[in-house]
Parts: sequence; C-alpha cells; structure tokens
Amino acid sequence: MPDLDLLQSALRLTTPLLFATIASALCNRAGILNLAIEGKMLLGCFVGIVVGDAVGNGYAGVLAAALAGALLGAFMYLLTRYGVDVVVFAIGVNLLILSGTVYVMRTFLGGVGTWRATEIRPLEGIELPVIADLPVLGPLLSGYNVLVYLSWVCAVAYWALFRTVAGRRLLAVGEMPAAAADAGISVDRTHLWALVAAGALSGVGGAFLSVGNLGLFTRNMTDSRGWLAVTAALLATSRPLGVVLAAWLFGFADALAIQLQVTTDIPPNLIQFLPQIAALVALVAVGVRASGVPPAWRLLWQRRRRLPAAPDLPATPTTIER
Amino acid sequence: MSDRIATHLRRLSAPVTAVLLGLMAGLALVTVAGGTAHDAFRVMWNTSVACTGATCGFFQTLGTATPLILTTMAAVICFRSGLFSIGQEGQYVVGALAATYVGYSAELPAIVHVTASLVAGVVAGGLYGLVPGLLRAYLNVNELIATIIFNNIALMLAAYLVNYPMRADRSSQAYTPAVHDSAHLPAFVPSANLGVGLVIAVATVVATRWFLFRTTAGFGQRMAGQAPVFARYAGIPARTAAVRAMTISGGVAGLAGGVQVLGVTHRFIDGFGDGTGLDGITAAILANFAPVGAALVAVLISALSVGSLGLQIDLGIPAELGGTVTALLILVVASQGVLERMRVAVARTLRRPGRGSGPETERGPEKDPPVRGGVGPEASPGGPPGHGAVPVGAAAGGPHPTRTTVTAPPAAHPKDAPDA
Repeated sequence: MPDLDLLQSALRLTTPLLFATIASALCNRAGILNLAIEGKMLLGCFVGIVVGDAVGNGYAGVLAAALAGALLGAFMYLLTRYGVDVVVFAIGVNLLILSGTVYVMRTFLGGVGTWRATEIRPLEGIELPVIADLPVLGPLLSGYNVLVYLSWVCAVAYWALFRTVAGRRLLAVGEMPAAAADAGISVDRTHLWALVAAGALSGVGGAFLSVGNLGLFTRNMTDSRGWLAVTAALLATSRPLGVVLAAWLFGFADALAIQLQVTTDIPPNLIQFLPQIAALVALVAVGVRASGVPPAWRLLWQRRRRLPAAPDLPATPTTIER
Repeated sequence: MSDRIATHLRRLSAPVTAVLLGLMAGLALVTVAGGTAHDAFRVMWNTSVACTGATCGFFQTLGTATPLILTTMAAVICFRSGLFSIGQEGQYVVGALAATYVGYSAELPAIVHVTASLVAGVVAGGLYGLVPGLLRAYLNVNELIATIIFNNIALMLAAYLVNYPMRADRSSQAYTPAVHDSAHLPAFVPSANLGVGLVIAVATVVATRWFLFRTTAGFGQRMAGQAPVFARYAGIPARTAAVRAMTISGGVAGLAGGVQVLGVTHRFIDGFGDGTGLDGITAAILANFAPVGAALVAVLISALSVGSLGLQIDLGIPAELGGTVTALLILVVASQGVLERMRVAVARTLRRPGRGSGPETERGPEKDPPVRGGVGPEASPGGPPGHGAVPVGAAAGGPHPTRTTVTAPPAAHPKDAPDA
C-alpha cells in the first residue's frame, strides 16, 4: 500500500506539471507548437513570488504570474503574425527568462543563489469541509493549497471545453485551419486565446513552485518541467483524461523515484525513465497514425471515442532559414 | 568580384546588427546593475580576449569554445538537412560517456588509446542520433520532440551510470574513474583548457564546410533541407538524407563530448551536460547555419560567457549577463524576418511611389496549415518566409494576386553559394 505521504506529495508536486500539460495540450489542439512553456512557467514562478512579496499577498502573486504568462503568450501571438520565427523565438525566450530572472534576482533583489520571500509564506493548505472527513480519500483529497484544487478545476474545464462551441471551434482551427476560416471562425483570434490561456496556465503552474510550495526562488526553479509537460501532453495526445493521467504519471514517477532513493538503493533515474519511454512510444504511435491509414483493429475502437487524439503535433520547421 | 563582396556584406549585415544590438542591450544591463559601460567593457575584454603576462583571456575563450564549436557544427549539419533536432545535448553526453569508459577501462598505447576513445565517442553519439533519425525517416516521428525525449533519457542514463555502476567514490558529486594518461588529449595551455581539442574542432569546421558545400552528399543534404521536392526529383531520398544527417550530426556531437572529457575534465562528472548542446544550436541559429560563421559565433558566445564570469568576479555584476545577452541575440535574429520584410516593403514603396506598397505579402496564420512563424503558404511546409517558394520575380511582376511571400531582392541571392 503506497504511503500516504508519498501520494500526497506526488499529488502536490504534479500540480505545476498538470497546469503546464493542459497549456501545452491546448496549444497543440489549436495547431500551435508552443515551445515557450518552460519559459512561461519560469516567468510565472519568478513574477509570482516577487510580486506576492512586494504586495504582501501570495494570491496577488499568483494573479500576477498568470498575467505575466498571458502577456507573454499574447506577445508570442503578435510575433507569429509578423513573421517572426516562433520556434527560434521560443528557444530564445526560454534562455532569456532563465538568465534574466537570475540577473534580476541578483541585481535588484539581492539574492545570490536563492531569494526568499520575507513578507509572505507559502500558500496554506485548505481543509475541505466534508471531504476531509472521508475515511480513505479524506487526507488524500483535502489539505492542499488552492492552486492544487485550481489545477483539478482546470483539468475538468479542459474536458468541458470540448463540449462547448468554443472548444469545437478550437478543434477545427487546429485540425484544418483553412476549413475553419472558410466557416467563418477567426483562426487568428483562436490562436491568440490559446496562447494567452496557455501562458496564464503555465504562469500559474510556475507560481505554484515558488509561491505555493517553497516560498523562495532559485535559478532554473522549473528545471525542465515545462519540457516534461510538452512530453506529457504528447503522451496524452492532448486528450483531457490523458492529460491528467500523463501529468500524474510523470509527477508520480518523480515522487516515487525520490522516495525510493531515500528508503532503498534503487537509483531514481531508472524510475524516471519509464514515463519518458512511455512518451517515446506515444510519439511513435502519433507519428505512425498521422502518416497512414489506421489499422483495422483501431477501427473497432473508432466509434467509442468521443474526442479524437490530436492528429499530429503541429508542424515544426523542416526547412531552414536561408 | 565586388558583387561577391556586396553579397557577403549584405549577408553579414543581419548578424552584425544583431550582435551590435545585443551588445548595446548588454551594456544597458550592466549600467542597470551599477557598473559603467567602460568598466564592463574593459573587464570583459581583459578576461576573454586580452593577454597579460602569464594568462591569456583569449586562450580561455578558445578553450571554452572547443566543445561548443563541435556541437555547433553538429547543429549546422542537422538543420541544413532540414531536421529541427535539438538532440545535440544528449548525443554530447552519450559520446562523453563512451569516451570516458574506453578511456579508463582499456589499456592501450597513447595515440591508439586517444583515438579509440574519441572514436567510441563518435560512434556512441552517432548511434544516439541514428535512432531518432530512423524514427523520423521511417515512422514519421516528430524529431523535435523525439530528441527532447532522447535528451532526457540520455541525461538520466548519465546520472544513473555516474552515480552507480561507473562511480569512482562516494563523494557528494559523483564522478567516474579518471581516464588513463594515455588517453588524454595533449593540452597546449592546460590552465585555459586549450589543447588538441581545438585543432580537432577547427578541423571539423573545415570538414563540415567541405562536406556541405563541396561534396555531392552534402549538396543532397542541403537540398533535402532547402527544397525537399527538388531533392526528391534529383534522386536524393528524403529518408537517406534524414538518417545520414542525424547520424553525422550525432557523431560530431559525440566527438564534442569525447574531446571535452579527454582534453579537459579527464573523467565524467555528474552534471556534465550543462547546456553545451543547446548553446551549439544557438550559435548555429545566430549564424544562419553557415559553418565558418557559426564557429565564429560559437567563439563569440564563449567570449561572452568567459567575460561575464570575469565581470562577476571583478565588478560584481551577475554572470547571467552573458546568457541574457545571448538570448537577446537569438530574439533579434528570430525577428530578422520581420525586419527583412519591413526593409522589402520600404524598398518597394521607394521604388514605385505611385503604387503604394505593391503586392502585399500575405501574412499571418489565417489561411494556413498549422503554422510556425506565421508564414504564407509555400511548397515546403512550415518553412520560414521566402523559403522554398518559387523565387517570385515579384519585384518585376505585375499586380498578380500573390499569396507567396516575396523574397528580398531575389536576383542577388544565389541560393547555395557557399557561405563564409
């Protein structure tokens, strides 16, 4: 029986990953390959705690983080409209935020390796009134801070999105923009909303790490979680349930690996391998699916599925700047 | 002759502008951090370029640049073939691991040992690049995400190996046994980490340029990247090109790892994968994938990082300045498309004042398949503006309802003249 502590910490630590995975899946569904999720997370992480400390309220910090991520997303959208190479830009922005946040931290905030917030403490856990008393699930579901619950709400919202007209439009834009445009859907505006929403979600996910968890900021605090989220969204083929499961898979593997390292001698890396391998398998499956006719056995399942998997990853450049 | 000079100047104008903008931004950051531009420049110059007495900053820069130049060449080969792979980091680490292993476990005479270790690194890196290449070629797997996953796996594998099977002792930061002396790469200036590795790096730059621009296979690679349809007609199968590109690029990145391990660290230390792979991609992008140019940019990036370390020691300005300026350079380069379009639009307006802005370039993703960079529809999917599109002599053309993007004065850009 897995340890309650382990489950709780796994659940808690999956939160930023869940936010970012939803963000990535959202962009995939809109037909955008958003590679700046790592940067947006780190930006949210930094802005969240700095603003929260300045204002004196952790929740204000979270809001600021969401805003910062959203603004960055909107900025990226603007750039795609004006022909900026968005993938190169994403690489640049990730690096800029990585170095820039440390630079600002050391120049203006006086932190050398780490900066601790002095005015606020990490967000407190909330005890849900009824659920907390449930026998087994109680401690497992209650007592987390608001961001954890918000991530669950967002996961449900992501599922519900595709039952709305707006969600269906998003799908259309992602799968066949030309047809969507002909049907009168504004592809541009959909991309804008997708990028803004993804930015806000990633920002909040990043803010969890600083404001919601440790109350400090260190260099590269997100530590490639954004990239992990891109991988997880891929593993989930951008489906709502898949997104949750994939995020939990990665998060749980991480927590388990750390736990096992402490209690036993099993190297943590071996456990962390597995989700990566799973993602690789999913990647191959997506590629194979995108290139050919589905084999007969898949047609058996075709009808049962409500939401098709994202047809393929949005296009990456196959040619280079000349 | 002056035509060629003019072409080269025009080609250089963009990166030079980028570098100047980046430096200006850097100086602004320095001022913000409390230093003066003059002091900062002096310190950076001394640390990364100047030679005073016993130490030579330039040697330090070159020593730091050695593995970076190699990973940059790996990126150049890969991207030139049209593959957007960021797997150089993983291949670098895997190559380093293999070289380390051969370095400390085999007993061979000196030159043989070094060569064998380097070859092990190349082979390991090549294989590690081959797998995503095969996945891409035969299973249509997106190489960008595949290489991200492979990077993660490589880093985890390295962490596991260094901490457990290959561990030398129980210190806090794990490392492997040291490679035997017979496997060391001779160093010219040991304190600056400058040695035979640099010679290897320069040789690789020359070899890359020769391969890409003077061999048929290299031409095929470039065509596979620039004009895949043409390449197919010319008999260059896309699959072969992709697999070859990934393997060679992986081999070069593995060589980078081997060179770094055998020449500098002499063992594999936990945390070896410190971003050299990604920096290589950065340098390649900044130089628009021209081999020699990219090598120079790699030296520049190294100078920036060495210099910013000196800045931190002498003036207390955070060393992240180097990373920030490099990132800004990337952003400027990424925006070049915009500047280029603006320049074209202005040029047209000036050329034909009565016609306004001439045939508008269709921009934005409204009517496109999943886009990258918001480009107009083109023959090669997802390419950057003006790429692979028929070089519409639109400057001379009438008011045809063009939906292709207009390349900058098309006539003056011989598409595959060897870049410097």
